[in-house]
Amino acid sequence: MSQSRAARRAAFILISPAVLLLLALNVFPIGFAVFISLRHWSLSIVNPPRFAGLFNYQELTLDDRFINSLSVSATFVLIAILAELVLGFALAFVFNSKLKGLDTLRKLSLLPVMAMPLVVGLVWFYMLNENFGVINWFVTLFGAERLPFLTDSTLAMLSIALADIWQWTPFVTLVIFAALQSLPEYVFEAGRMDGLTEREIFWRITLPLLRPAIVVVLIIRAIDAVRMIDLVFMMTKGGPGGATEVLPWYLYTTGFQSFDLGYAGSMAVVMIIIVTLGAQVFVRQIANPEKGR
Amino acid sequence: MFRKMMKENIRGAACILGATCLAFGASIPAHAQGVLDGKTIRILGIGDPVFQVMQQIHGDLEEIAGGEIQLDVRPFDVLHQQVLLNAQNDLSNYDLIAVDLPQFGEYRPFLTNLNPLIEENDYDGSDFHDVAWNGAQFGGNQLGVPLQPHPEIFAYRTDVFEKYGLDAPRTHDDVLAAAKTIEENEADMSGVCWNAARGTPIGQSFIMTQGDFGAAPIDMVKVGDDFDMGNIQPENMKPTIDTAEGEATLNYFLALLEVSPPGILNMAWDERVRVFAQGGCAMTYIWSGRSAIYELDEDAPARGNVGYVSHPSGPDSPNRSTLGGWYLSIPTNIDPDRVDLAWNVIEWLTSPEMIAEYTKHGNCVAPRKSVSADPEVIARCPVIPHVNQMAEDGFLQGWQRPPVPEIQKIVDVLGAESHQVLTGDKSVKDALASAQRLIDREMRKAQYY
Amino acid sequence: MAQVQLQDVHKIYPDGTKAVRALNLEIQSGEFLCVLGPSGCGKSTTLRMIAGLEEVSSGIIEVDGQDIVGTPARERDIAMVFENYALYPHLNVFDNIAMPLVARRTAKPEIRERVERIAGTMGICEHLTKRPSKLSGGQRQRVSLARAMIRSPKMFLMDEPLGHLEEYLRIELRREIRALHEATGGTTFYITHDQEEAAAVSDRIAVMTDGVLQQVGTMADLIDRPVNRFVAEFVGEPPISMFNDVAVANGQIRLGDYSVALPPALNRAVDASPPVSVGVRPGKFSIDDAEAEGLSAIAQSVQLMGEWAAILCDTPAGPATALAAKSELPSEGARVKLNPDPEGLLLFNKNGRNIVSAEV
Repeated sequence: MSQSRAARRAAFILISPAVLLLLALNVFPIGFAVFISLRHWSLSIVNPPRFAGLFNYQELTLDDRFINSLSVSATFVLIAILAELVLGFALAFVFNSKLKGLDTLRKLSLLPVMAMPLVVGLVWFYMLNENFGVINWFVTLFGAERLPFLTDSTLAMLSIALADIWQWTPFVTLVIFAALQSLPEYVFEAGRMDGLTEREIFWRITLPLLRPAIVVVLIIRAIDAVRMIDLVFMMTKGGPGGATEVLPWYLYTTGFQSFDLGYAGSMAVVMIIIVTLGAQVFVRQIANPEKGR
Repeated sequence: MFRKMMKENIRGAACILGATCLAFGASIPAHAQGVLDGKTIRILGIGDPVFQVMQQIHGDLEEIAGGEIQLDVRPFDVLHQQVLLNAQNDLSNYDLIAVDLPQFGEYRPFLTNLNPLIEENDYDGSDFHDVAWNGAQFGGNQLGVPLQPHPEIFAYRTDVFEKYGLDAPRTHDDVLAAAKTIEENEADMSGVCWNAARGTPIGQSFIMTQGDFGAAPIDMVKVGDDFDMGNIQPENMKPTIDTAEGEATLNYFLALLEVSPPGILNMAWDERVRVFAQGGCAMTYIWSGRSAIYELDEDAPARGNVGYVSHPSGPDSPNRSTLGGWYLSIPTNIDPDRVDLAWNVIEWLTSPEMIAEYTKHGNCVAPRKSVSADPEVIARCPVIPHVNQMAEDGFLQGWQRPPVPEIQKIVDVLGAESHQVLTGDKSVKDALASAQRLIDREMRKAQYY
Repeated sequence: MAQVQLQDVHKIYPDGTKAVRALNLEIQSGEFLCVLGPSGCGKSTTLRMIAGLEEVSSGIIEVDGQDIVGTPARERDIAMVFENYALYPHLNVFDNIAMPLVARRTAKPEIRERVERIAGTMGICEHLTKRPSKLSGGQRQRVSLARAMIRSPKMFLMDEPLGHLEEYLRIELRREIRALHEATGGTTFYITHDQEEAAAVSDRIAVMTDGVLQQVGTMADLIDRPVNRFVAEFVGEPPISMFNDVAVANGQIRLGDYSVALPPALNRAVDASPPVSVGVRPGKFSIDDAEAEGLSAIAQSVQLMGEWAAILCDTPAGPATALAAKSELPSEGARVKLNPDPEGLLLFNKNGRNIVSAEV
């Protein structure tokens, strides 16, 4: 009995550095965000911060701009992730085929991933600009009217999604490609022997076997896409109207341009809750379908 | 509790930083009888033309000053954060900070009153335009010295206007009529370039245009045609957005939209000047210092063909242009032993010789009467005498952007709401009501009323 | 059931490796044919060419008179059992077994009925809802067999299906495989490197090496009438004793310090094609005591194998292996005499051909 108590104490001592680190790095900042969100706290006001109760959260429910930013974020995440997955998948299969010259292409394809998102945003901003953008120059070469890539609600959302897709599809390709390479050849042979067509093999065998890789890449990309701010900052500042004002951008302008830290804190807390819940549901439902049954 | 902890940490960091700087500074030989005399000056600046010029000629400046110039240039928002965070330190990390004219209200508690230094050194501020010099005066205290104060004015292509027999635009109606004529006759030239991008650009356009109608965004006391900025009381903080002037502002924007170049909804400070420089539009709103972009560009069609007027006004209102731009100030938490050094550097960097030097490198701003009369300077920067005249006529004012801490929040709210009107997502009425409500909420949160 | 004919089949890989050369082989309808050979001999490649998983470089593969070269695997109606089971890791046992029926759009109730029936036969009913990763090796191979058996294909291909299993399971399963083969009456092409297994399950055995088919026949054929040295040495347990120091004179062949009279038929053949080596199966030696006539030998080691033991000996002609009943074992180190049965002598010429078969 006393021995097990000693063992437990030793275990406690051994894990305590890790637990403390976890507390310091994860729990404390989140706790601090909650703390800020319950106050009126503005760096720019000489008044000291004071307790606000749930005022900031109540404001959130009334704030059209906040609700709009939620739906804009959701739209962006859906468009970008779906396109990245489909394209990344297709590219992975192209790379997986044994065509010549693909090796170089495979290496080159990773370049966008290495670029800084801010730079990517700047480059796309200039390329899509209506007055001196190279893409509109091409458009006019074909005799068409210049397109308001960044100033039309729908086009602006698509443009930002496009920049994100351009940057991150290679990453999806890389992960899926690696997963494809590691699939055992014999399973496909078994499928062919069992009389499955190539299409059936894809749907019944390849796709389910890639599920873990797909889930990983989806979670990484989704969390990343929910946090995306650089492209909006460089390309549209959330415009036109509020068509591309994603939640992080509204949060940033509130917290770091208007210095309304309390209100921004409440947004951050809501965002943390959404991301955490989303990831939970996602992992339960998609990553582990057996348990759902 | 947490704040206190943070303070301690930052103080520690500041001490270490200070120590290294001093040690480093001492190792530089006093080879010149410059203002620094072997010491190091630490400046927190903004990524605007004047500080960019200082970066360009940084080596020369250090040569002249005979010491090290540690110049940190930050984007607007970052600078804002840095100034506020630095103010929490027991000892400032900077000797000089750049302050934008409307920020004085917010920074007031953190800025050293320069009056004793001015008296002690027999400094004469009368060479500065009154409006520039007085802009940094609060309750009789001088809080900064003008470095690059300039107004947002209106530029138009004289060659195009002559071609169609148009007069310099003095009112909004003039602007719209001229724009219409030009758009109908010129295939590739639009009417007006302006700040219509979402956020701060159009938010600033809003309050400056509201100024064209003789109105400020908050309920300040009116003195003649202008407002009393030196003594803003809590009851003056009530927003005045949902008003006839606010409505007229948004309606003017909607009218401008018809005569704007493509991509106007994403256009801001830099792009509007570049499009204007290349002949994409016949007129533009412009911060006067930025005229160097085309005046120094030999290939720009606009070069030498530009006339300047102050902001065209709304009906029955005087012409007023918003004065903004950068001042040099000394934070209150500066090491007392460094105050004199800081002041000497201010004197030097804002001296007539230096102001004239900046104009050579793309900063067309001359807040000193002596410099703005210099023919060489005028040749480089044709805009300077125009601005000089506007200053003398009393057209340059700062009340359009009142120096209150909430100014950025006001601009941010207006920047989001106005843009929705331009995209057709919101009616003028709804946008004004919503902006009014949001700013009002902000003022109540700050417990003004 | 299908009759399969391979005619002059070659397989050359892109890197130039000749995996299969000029293969001619017939598999009778309903026959259980084993292919035996060391690894890399081309047996798997042959099987995969029949399956349609590997392209044929040249030659014809006929199934019931129809050339199937170029026909996709799924249209060949051939079932395959893999050495590593090749089960779908993401599907449970039921879905694994059902896959061939699903691919053929069989109605769900029928699938359920047939899967349950075959699972009953294979004794894996209680595992139907488990994933393959939860099963033992033997259970996995039963699932794999069930998947192959669930439809009635033209033929079964089995690529070392028992290779990864423990000894006792191999013996149990090979009996079942043979029983299933007989029950279904299918044609089975079976690959193994285990000759005991080959003997146990097959009707005929084909021996391959270096991509070339050496001999096809029953186990008895391979033991008693190997066509060449390779077959003689590869087949047979314990292995054949091969003597390279050989001299033939006056109808006698000399092995070390002993000469054996050749049977007349063999003696005639020897004239046409002089032997360079002689092989004697362990069972063809009788062991006598040291005073008897015979090849002098020292019993170096005695390996007991059930009722029999292999006696590894040193002789003047070289090492030799003989069999002795458990009751009459010589002690290790004992001097004995080995007496080869003249009818059991296998003579090989300089090309390695069996001199008798070469003549035939």
